[in-house]
Amino acid sequence: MSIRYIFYLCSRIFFVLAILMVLPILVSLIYNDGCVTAFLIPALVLVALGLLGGFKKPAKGTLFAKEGFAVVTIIWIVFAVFGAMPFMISGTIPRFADAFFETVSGFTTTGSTILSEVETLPNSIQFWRHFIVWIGGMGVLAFALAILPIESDKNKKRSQSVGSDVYIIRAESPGPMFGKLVPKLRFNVQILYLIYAVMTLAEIILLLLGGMDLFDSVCHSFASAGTGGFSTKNASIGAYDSAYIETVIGVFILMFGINFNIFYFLLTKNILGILKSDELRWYLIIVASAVLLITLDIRSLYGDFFLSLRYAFFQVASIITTSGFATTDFDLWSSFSKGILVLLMFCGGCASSTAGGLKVSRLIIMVKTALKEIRYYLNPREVRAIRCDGNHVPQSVVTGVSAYFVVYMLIFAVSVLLITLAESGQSLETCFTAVATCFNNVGPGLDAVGPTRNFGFLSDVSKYLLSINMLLGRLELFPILALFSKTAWKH
Amino acid sequence: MNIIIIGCGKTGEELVASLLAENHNISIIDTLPSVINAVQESYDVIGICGSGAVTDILREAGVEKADLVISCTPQDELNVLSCTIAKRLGAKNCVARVRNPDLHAQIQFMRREFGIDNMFNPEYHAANAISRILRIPSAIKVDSFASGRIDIVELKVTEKSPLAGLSLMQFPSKFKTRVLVCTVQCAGSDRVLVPSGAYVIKPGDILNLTATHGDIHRFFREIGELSEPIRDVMLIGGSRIAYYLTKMLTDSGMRVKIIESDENRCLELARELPKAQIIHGDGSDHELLVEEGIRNMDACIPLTGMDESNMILSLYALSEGVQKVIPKINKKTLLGMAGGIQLNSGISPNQLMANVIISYARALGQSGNSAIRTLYKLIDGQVEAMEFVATDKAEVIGTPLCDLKLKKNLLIAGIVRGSHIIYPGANDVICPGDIVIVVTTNLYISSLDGILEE
Repeated sequence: MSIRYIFYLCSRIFFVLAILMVLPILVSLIYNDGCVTAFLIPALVLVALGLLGGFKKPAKGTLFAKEGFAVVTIIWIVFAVFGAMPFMISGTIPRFADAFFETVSGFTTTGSTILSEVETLPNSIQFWRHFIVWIGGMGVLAFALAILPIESDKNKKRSQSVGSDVYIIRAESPGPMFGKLVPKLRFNVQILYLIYAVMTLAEIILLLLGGMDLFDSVCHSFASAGTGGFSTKNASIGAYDSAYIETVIGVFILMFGINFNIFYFLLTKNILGILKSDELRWYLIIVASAVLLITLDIRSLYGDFFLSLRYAFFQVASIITTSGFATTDFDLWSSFSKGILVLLMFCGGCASSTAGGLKVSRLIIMVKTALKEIRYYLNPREVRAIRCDGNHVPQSVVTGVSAYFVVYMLIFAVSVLLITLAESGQSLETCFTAVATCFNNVGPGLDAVGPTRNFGFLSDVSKYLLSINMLLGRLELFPILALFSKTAWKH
Repeated sequence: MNIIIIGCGKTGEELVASLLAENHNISIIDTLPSVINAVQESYDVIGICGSGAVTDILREAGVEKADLVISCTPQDELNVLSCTIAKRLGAKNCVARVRNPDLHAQIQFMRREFGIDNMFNPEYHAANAISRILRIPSAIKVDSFASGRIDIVELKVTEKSPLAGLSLMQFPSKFKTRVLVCTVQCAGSDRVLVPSGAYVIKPGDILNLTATHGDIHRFFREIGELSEPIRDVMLIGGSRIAYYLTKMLTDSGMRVKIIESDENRCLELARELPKAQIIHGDGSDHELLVEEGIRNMDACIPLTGMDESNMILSLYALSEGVQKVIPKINKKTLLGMAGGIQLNSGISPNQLMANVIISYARALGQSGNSAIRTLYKLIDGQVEAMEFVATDKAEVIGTPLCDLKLKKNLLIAGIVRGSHIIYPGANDVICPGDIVIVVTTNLYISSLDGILEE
């Protein structure tokens, strides 16, 4: 792996990260909250780093799989560190462990917070918290690729064009398979970002119509588009106590949890492509049955069917899309309902969406593999192919999904053990759901990390551990794990 | 342009790479998922798994909006079928790779009745290229323009050559024949330049010269590079190229010996090629080659299906003192790996096919406006030599060449007006109907007006 070449690629992306910081600076100037320097300093440092390595292209070096995942992992960690700086410089979150946790939480679209009081934050800082969720949702490298060619060289020799940005996008894009919509990757990413931006804008407008003020609408739309779940209110969406706002946000986060290719099919009037999608069907079935079960279960708690339905719908949408907004303290619900919510955390949204978790498509493939094995047990001579969305799923993908699940469970188990060790005073439920919620990029857990509490009380060790969990969950394990493999660093 | 490539084997991949460099949007269709995955990983294309003759698959690949569909699966019939279907589904242009000589002969019928716009036969192009080199054996590569009237020849300057140490200005006083030095790849570097008159030629330089076919011959005789004309040629491997090449060579009076290991193929060749001598035997057998007189051959052309064996056979033939060896090598990377080995010439049918398709695609984008007619890539693709036919709409018409603002590193190497060939000077003008030959390191020019500075 060519380290100089990776440094060159990263340096080019540093410029994009610096550009991202221009927006909060503008917000700070508009509201005059005195946080300009908090953003200016990290932005200038990024530009300086970019100038250091981004201009001269090393003579040798090609973007292969190794370089691709290395760039993705490095950029995400670098951005988490630089994204934490505004919080520290502005003094809103003075300690690095806290600021890092908060940034990673936003950037990975988790939405767990260490702040107990968010309503007094300066506007630009508040905006930054939500803006990184929006960028993290679709992927910062995808954003970089959409606005600048990572490998720019129009007259490059043909032999060098082999090996491409595909590796970067694949490492960042969630789901077991990466599929293109149009031949040019750059155009592909631009289409997805455009859909993303238009949907976000639609949500902002609908929230404005619901009486939310502009700043809060923008922030909440960013947070729900990235399925992050940060809020400008201490009581999250519950603070508005409005069925309209809850429905708008609930429906939008469900939409952001759908594979974005579906929206492209909708635009190109490819109805067949939508109907063929097993993932969408399963996703909607899971949501509907979870809402129904929880509604029936919590009816006795609230006494009213429609109120229960309203809370159940919002909470299911919020958890399965791994957003993590709260309208009510679901920590008070029965164990059965809480159990469903915890399972939904693991389930997650669809592939190629902004949601986290295992992803519905992986579940489908795993369930179908299991069924196939059972049938094989009964009819040893039967040959069956696993199909998904009407297409045959190659064996390599099936194996990949199984391997992913094994690694996922192992990391989860080890993380829970470490957290119980670090937080010996807390209940197992707290530790278990803290890891589950961070690893799946959800946001709130249960008990001490429940929807009305926060993560601020945890020790620094736990905060770093959970931050790593969030990054592992967002980048889907392998890019980060591969970086620790010895062979990755051999030339 | 939106381009669909059906069948992504060796030829298909070469096409993907070449067309991608021209910045087209490419979809590929192949029946093997492993092929699709591999190509998608290396190139910025979208892949669809399935047969190119199925309407659903073609629609999924966006055939309605396709400007060009190229079918190059191994089966000629499938290529024809895919192209016919694609055309009916609304593709603007369809070209098929057709290697069967009988099918290829009915191109007019196919165009009229099936709507296929063109058919390409890489093997035929390859045979043509080899036969051109055999006419001027001391050249590395010979390409021709204006239906064979002008040649562009690649030549490596040796230590003994009278050209070494000469500046280009001295050419007219030294030699009676006029040739034009278009490009020079300087000895020991990758750099290619369009030289000025003051450039002094060093041993090891690789020159590209243009002149008429006859003048090239006379010039090579003057500089003592024209060795004995080639009389005896040995072809190892009786592939389709061997078939076409043998026809061309025997027609011009050379004696051809083909060594082929498959008995049935030998019988076929013997029926089709009465003038050639067909030997049934293993071409990699040293004894057999000696017995069949490889030492007395003027040229040896290894054409087996394996690039590697072709390379080894070439080295062996050179060591046996064969004057000219031209192996078929499809995988260009192999030549790179064997950088130290001195193989002076080599032919890649895929590369030739890619060049033909590129010039075809560039011409499509220009819809009749002095579009490119022929394209050759020289010196590893760093130089392009092109032929245009000037239409009366072109901007370059009527202005003396010295007043045109030409792009840098670009040379007008020749103008063919009727039967007359002009070596352009400062006061010459381009007239409508002229064939203009341009050599440049400025890649991606697609029409005659593209030679002007923007």
